[in-house]
Formats: sequence, C-alpha cells, structure tokens
Amino acid sequence: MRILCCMFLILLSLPGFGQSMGPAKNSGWPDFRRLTYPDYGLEQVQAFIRQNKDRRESLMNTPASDGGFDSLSLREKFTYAMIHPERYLQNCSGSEYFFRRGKLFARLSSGYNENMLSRRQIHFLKTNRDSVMTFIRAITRGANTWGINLKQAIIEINGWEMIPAMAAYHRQRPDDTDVLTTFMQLMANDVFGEFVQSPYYDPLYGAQSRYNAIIDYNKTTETFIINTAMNYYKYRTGKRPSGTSAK
Amino acid sequence: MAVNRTGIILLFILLYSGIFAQENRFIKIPAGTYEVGLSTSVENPLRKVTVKAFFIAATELTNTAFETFVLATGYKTEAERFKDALVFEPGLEEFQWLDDSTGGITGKMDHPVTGISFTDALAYCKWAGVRLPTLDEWEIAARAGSPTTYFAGATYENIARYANIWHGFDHLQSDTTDGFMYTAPVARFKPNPLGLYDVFGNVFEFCSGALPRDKGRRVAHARGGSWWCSKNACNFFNGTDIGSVNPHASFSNLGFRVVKEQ
Repeated sequence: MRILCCMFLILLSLPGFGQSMGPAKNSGWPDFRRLTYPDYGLEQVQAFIRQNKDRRESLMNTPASDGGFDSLSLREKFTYAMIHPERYLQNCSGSEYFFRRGKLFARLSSGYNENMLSRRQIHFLKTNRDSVMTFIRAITRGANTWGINLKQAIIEINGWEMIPAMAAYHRQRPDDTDVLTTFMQLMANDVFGEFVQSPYYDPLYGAQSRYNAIIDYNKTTETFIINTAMNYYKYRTGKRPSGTSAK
Repeated sequence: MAVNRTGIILLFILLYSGIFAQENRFIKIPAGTYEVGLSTSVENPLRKVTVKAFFIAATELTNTAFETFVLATGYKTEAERFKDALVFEPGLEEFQWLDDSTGGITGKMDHPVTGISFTDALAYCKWAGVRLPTLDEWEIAARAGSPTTYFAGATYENIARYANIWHGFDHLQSDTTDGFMYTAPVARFKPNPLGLYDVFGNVFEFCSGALPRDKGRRVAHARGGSWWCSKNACNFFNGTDIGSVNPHASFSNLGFRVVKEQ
C-alpha cells in the first residue's frame, strides 16, 4: 500500500500529468502551468528525443540535428515543439516561477522550466499556424486543462482565432487566469485600440511598465478582458461594425 | 612631461596591482547564525541559518584565473564542445539571446569569466581546490549583515554605484550609462561593507544548493543580477532573488566567485 501511495505521488508530480485534475487550489503550482502533452506521435517523438540525448546528461533541450528535425512530420514537429524546448532560458526569468492567486501577469510563464522554444521551433509554429490551431483544437476538445505550452503557442502564432474556444474553456475553468493573460498579450501585440485605451494596458505593457508587471485580478477586470478579447476577435473576423480602429 | 608620464605609469601600476590584489583576496565570514531571506518573499522566506566559517573571494573569478585552469588542464568548456553559448547584443527583445560559440575575451582578462556553464564552474573549483558558495553563504556575504535585500549603503535607487547593470528601459538600444555595456573589470564598482565587489550586477554568480521549485531536477542557481539586468526586466541585483538555469547553459552574463574553507 505504501508503495502504491508513493507511486501515485510520483505520478502527480510529473509534468503534464493530471489532465483531468480539478481546479487549482489557492497555493502551489496550478495544473494549467504544466505542459499539455499532445498525443500525435508522442511515443515516436519521445523516442526521437532520446536518440539525441547521446552526448551528455541533458535536461530536456538537446536540439535535434537539422536533418533529424526535418525528418519529422508536421504533426510530429508540433508535438516535438510542445514537449521539447530546444533553447536555454535565462537565469533571471523570475516571472517564470511565480504564480500568485489574485494577480494577473502581463506575460505567460515559459512553462518549460529552464528552457524555452528555439527560433526554429517558433518559426515552425508561425509558418504552420493554421495546422497548429487545428492541432490545438483537437487536443483541447473536452480537455479539463489547457497547458501553458498551448497558450504560448497561441501567442507565438498570434492565434486570435482561438479566442472563442479559450473563452469557453475559461467558463469551465475560471481559475485559469493564464487565459486572461493570453488574451491580453494577443491584444497588446496587435495594439488593439480598445485594450490599449483601457486602464490595464499602461501598467502591463505601457512605455514605463516592467516586464514582469502584474495587476490585481477581480471580476470586473476579468469581464472586461474577456469582453474586449471577444471584440478583438470580432474585429479580426470583420464582424465588428465599421469605424472602429484597432491600430 | 616625463614626470607626468612616470606618474601615469605609477598610477597604472598601483591601480592594476590593487585590482590584482582584490582578485586574490578572500574575505572571512565567521561561523554563526545569520538571518537570510525576506518576510515578503515566497521563494526565499525570512529565516535563520547557521554556517561554519568560510572564506569568500572578494571578486568574481576572472578570465585570467580561468585561463590558468584551461592552460594547465586543456579543459574545454561546454560551450566550446557543444557550440551553444548564448550572447547578447542590443536590439534583442527582452530575454532573447544570440547563439555564439566564439566568446572573445581579448582585452577582458580582468573581467569575470563568462560563457561558462555551472558544470564548467564545478570543474574549475575541483581543479583549484575551492568550491562555489552555497545559496545561504552567498546571501550572508552579499548582504553583509543588512536586514534588507541590499547591503548597508546600497539602495534600489543608488545601486548604480555598486553594480554594473543595464540602465536602459529595454534592450533594444545599447546602454553604456555606467561606462560598460557588457561586463566590467572586477572591482570597478564600490564594494559592500565586507569588501566584496560586484555581488550585485556584472555577472550572475553560480551557487551550490537546491530549491523546492527544482522538484528534484538538477538545476543550477545563480544570484546577484548581471550587466544585462535592468530595473524593468530581471531586476535580480539584490540579496533575495535566486535564479535558475540549466546546468549546461553558458550565457555571457553568468559567472562565479569561489569559496574556500580556510
């Protein structure tokens, strides 16, 4: 029995484990700050990654050779990017570590511990954004948690088309405040007028803001961000009434 | 004119020998119980720790010192072997770095060694018969008895007197406000009350030890901020924050200072 308990605890500590876990508690590392493991060719990609770990003890990020990377299929490349960040993350990316209930962050945590996506991985995501969104939709259909890596991918590709699906997910998981951060980053990156003119933009993204700026989270802020994100979505899809400027 | 020239040469010799003396100086930290952490910090909470006496280098380890190790042993750094050092140049977005494997140090022999990984730092320590400070030892030495995150005299506002940091708002434009865009020679800024130079700024300093957030993984930790760190991004030039980095990562803002037992 003790062994079974230990095994269960170890499983709980694994990144990506617990897709069916309940809402995050008030302390500790919430499940939505973990990675979502895509199931597309996961075993093959994991075997591929192991093949590249032949030179030294490594922590996740040994890059595949160009030839090896090119040999992966489109879906495998996506899985590879989602579970195997190839680049080292700077020592002082402090906001990566902290999660504070009741606060909204300007930027998402990297989610990959001491590593981050490489330029070729980001290039892959951007140049295949439609496919990437298709993959993300498939992964998240019915999922209880959208991992931090999926939201990062959405930001990298400026995936504004994902806003309604994310808003629907947020209704199920209102504790996942990273959804709100994702919305804000999408709008800030596109300099969406309605958001830029709001009282939230300057403290988080304005000329004098700090990189790891935070604001208080409350229901009013949440409602504003979601509504503004939906307006941004409508604007991008051309459904918004004419005369509203985004830039 | 000749007098002036002689004077300049003498001044240079004095200055150089002064820096050289600092490089080889160790500061004794007596055994005792010290307060570390801050009451407002989740990751580094206020607590008391007891340590044995140790001697910590007054300066960060220089290129000169590391070169001695390389010449004596033929050691190849991880960045040399795997061509994965990361360097910076103005124009990059926050927290973005460039790939580079050259790591030129011409004219920078009195600067802290960078472009080395935690693993490389351990190799040097093993060869030199020294070690890295623990996370607590580093903080005890850096804060020098101050109850705040800064040592006595230093504040968030006047940190530029003590630390080579980035003064630009972001990293899109170069910044040489304090005379240095990248590393500075060691001991160029004012020391802390114990006589330790560059505990804040210049380069992050590797420490030994683990944190709960490591969750059992092998992670390197470095403290004190660096020339890259600005008040708007990073902001780690203090005695509280603790960074985390892959133990194989080699950045041009990562270095170390050493400790010996006696």
